[in-house]
Amino acid sequence: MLAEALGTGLELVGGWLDCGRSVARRIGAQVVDPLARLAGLGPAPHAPTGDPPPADQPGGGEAAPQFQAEEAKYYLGPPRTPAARYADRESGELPRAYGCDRIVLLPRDPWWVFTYWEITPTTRVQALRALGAEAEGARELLRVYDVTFITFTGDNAWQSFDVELPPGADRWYLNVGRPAASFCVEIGLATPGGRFLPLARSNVVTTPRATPSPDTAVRWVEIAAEAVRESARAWEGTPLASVAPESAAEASEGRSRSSDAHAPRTAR
Amino acid sequence: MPPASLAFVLHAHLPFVRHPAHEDFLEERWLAEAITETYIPLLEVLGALERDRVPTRLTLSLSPPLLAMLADHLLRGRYLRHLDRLVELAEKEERRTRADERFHRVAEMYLARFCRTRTIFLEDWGQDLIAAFRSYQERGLLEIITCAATHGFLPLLAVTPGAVRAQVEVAVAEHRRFFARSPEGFWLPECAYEPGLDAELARVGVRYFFVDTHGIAHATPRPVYGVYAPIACDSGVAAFGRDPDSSKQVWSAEEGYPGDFWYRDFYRDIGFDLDYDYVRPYLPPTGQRILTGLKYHRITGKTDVKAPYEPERARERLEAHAAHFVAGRVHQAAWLARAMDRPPIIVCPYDAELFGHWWFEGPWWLEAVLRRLAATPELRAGTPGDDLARHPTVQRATPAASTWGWKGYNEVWLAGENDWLYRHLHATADRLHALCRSYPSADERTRRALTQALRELFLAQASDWAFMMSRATTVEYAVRRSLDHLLRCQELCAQVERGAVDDLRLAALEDTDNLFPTLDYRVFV
Repeated sequence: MLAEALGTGLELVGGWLDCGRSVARRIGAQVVDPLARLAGLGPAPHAPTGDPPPADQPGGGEAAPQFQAEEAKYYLGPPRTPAARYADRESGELPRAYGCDRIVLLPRDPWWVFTYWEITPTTRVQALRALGAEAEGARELLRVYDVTFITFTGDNAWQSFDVELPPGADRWYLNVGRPAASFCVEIGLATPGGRFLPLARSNVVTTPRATPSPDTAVRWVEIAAEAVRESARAWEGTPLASVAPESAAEASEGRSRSSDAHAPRTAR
Repeated sequence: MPPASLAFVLHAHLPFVRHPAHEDFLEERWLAEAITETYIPLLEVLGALERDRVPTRLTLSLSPPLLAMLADHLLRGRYLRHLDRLVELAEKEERRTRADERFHRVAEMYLARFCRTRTIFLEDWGQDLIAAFRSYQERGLLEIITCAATHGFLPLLAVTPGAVRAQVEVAVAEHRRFFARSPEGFWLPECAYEPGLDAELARVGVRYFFVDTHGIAHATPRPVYGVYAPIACDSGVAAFGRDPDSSKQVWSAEEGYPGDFWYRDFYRDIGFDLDYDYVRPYLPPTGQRILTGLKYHRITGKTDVKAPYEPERARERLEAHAAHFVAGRVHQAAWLARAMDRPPIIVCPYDAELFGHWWFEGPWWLEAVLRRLAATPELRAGTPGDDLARHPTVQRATPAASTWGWKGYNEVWLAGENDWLYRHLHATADRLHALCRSYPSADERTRRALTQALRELFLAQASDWAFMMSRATTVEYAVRRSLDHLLRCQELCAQVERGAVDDLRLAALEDTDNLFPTLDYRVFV
């Protein structure tokens, strides 16, 4: 049975490659050798202002009409002139800075991640002071680490590359070029002598897998039966009496219920 | 083999728009249009299917902000007033067009429709559309599921501990409040999944969610049935994948049904076409021309010269499209049956507002498809919950991070036009999170202030604002709303931190941003 499922399944995966191709078109899959890109260690190719990279496929192929429909939810007519004014709006401005050192990494797609940061003037001054004579000519840069399958300690990444920043930059799109890999980024000061003084380190982000997994192991699990009955009752069309909202006790019961939902099931 | 399941999943959502200080606020029309053109037509379709005993199973996700607006008495009253004006305009139109039979019958169609809408809203359901959907769930036609509290784009909020959990828990609590039962399924906003999110769903007893096709295609290990059977994440929650074929038939620029030349055109509207003084009473107070909902033309072709709409011809086309769709699924099911040892489930998720609002004929197309399914032994209408009940043994695999947005990942919600937002969303969430944690218990005033601050944070987190910014639609309003809620949240945080809550201000904010009445800030710890 298992072999049968596997066999038919693989055939099935092959069978819907057509749909896979259309998905690949839609998601604008770039086929690049990510390691080669990383090994190149060059700065990610994008506008020096830190603007996002241009769209790979303007128009997005067949996704466009879907967006048209989504936009239609909000379409009432051409933009207003003069622009929106309403009484219950707030008049303040958002803070330009939040006063703490921080760098955050966000996933964009299998090949790009986005980072923004804030370094307080105090930290910057302290760092320059710590560099002493080397502070002369020190530049701010991002160091991007490939930390796939690693608990990063600062010096154990597979590899890294640097991105030099123009003055005043506070966010950047990084072309890591590598799906299904984990990255971490530091912002720091690099001295002409080659020393790097990190000012802040980001969270770790894993890029999405962009191709079918090479892992073809098949394991079956049983989805919790308790909830299945509840659902089946509705399906049979039995009117559900209006019941009081579930108590906290029942809710936590639901939790334990779902936790034994994945009792492994041996091969069929 | 038993029949294949066809699972239509309609995701109904609008951002929370409620401006009590304004008698007539432009963006509140989003709700009015969706009620008139989508939600009530869907209820009509359900009513017709039930009356004719057509076996019907649909999955409907009703987002918490939409539920909050549908339950709100102020917005209900405003909708009724909007509808009255619409009926009045349609009456005038019926008289105005008498000289021209081509337009007159369309005007009559609108008048009849709007009167019927009024009856359904006011008399059938006493202004309570949530009760309407609930009753169809109780009678077995619908499986109603939930969505994140304010449709937050979860993978981009996850850097703040507890932010995703709060969006999930509050959504489930709201669902229980309205439907007196726990949601079986969860619509991840924008289908945005990343590994680990499923564990948050498992915590609250959710059993399934949806991902786009490539979320399953690129899952680990490789799913043997592709998108035609669910997979189970490590947490035990099942993931269902979008069928690319049926989605293409609706969305393809060339073959997609909604673009058929006989269908009604969305943009051509008397709000723009007719004499200004004539339509002025039905325009917003600013006097700008906008869509009124009365549209007399068909798509006609790739041309600006539009021909009059012919309801009978559109009817023929939607029947043909329904037949084409069902035939395609029968063919697909037969092909899949050869390769699978369980009946496939074909999952067709759409924005609910596609049906009726964008694609005027959509609700009747859906009805026609369901009627045809009843006469098609190879297929049956089903829900993911039904599928899990019939086939509880599922392959263990983790979907790949993905969304159903343009190009399949996060780019719409993380782009040059909106990436500035995340710095503020995260900093504000972190600040409130720390503050909530520092108050294991609080006096009444502090509790209210923290809770309102959380409402404001939730409102700022709605994915709609980032979407509008990046798609260049109502950008200014989207930016304004993001700023307003971030500022309100920060202001309340500052008041709590200083120990100086401004009672009047707090009450005013509670009155304006009044969703989630049973919320407690301790959900965000």
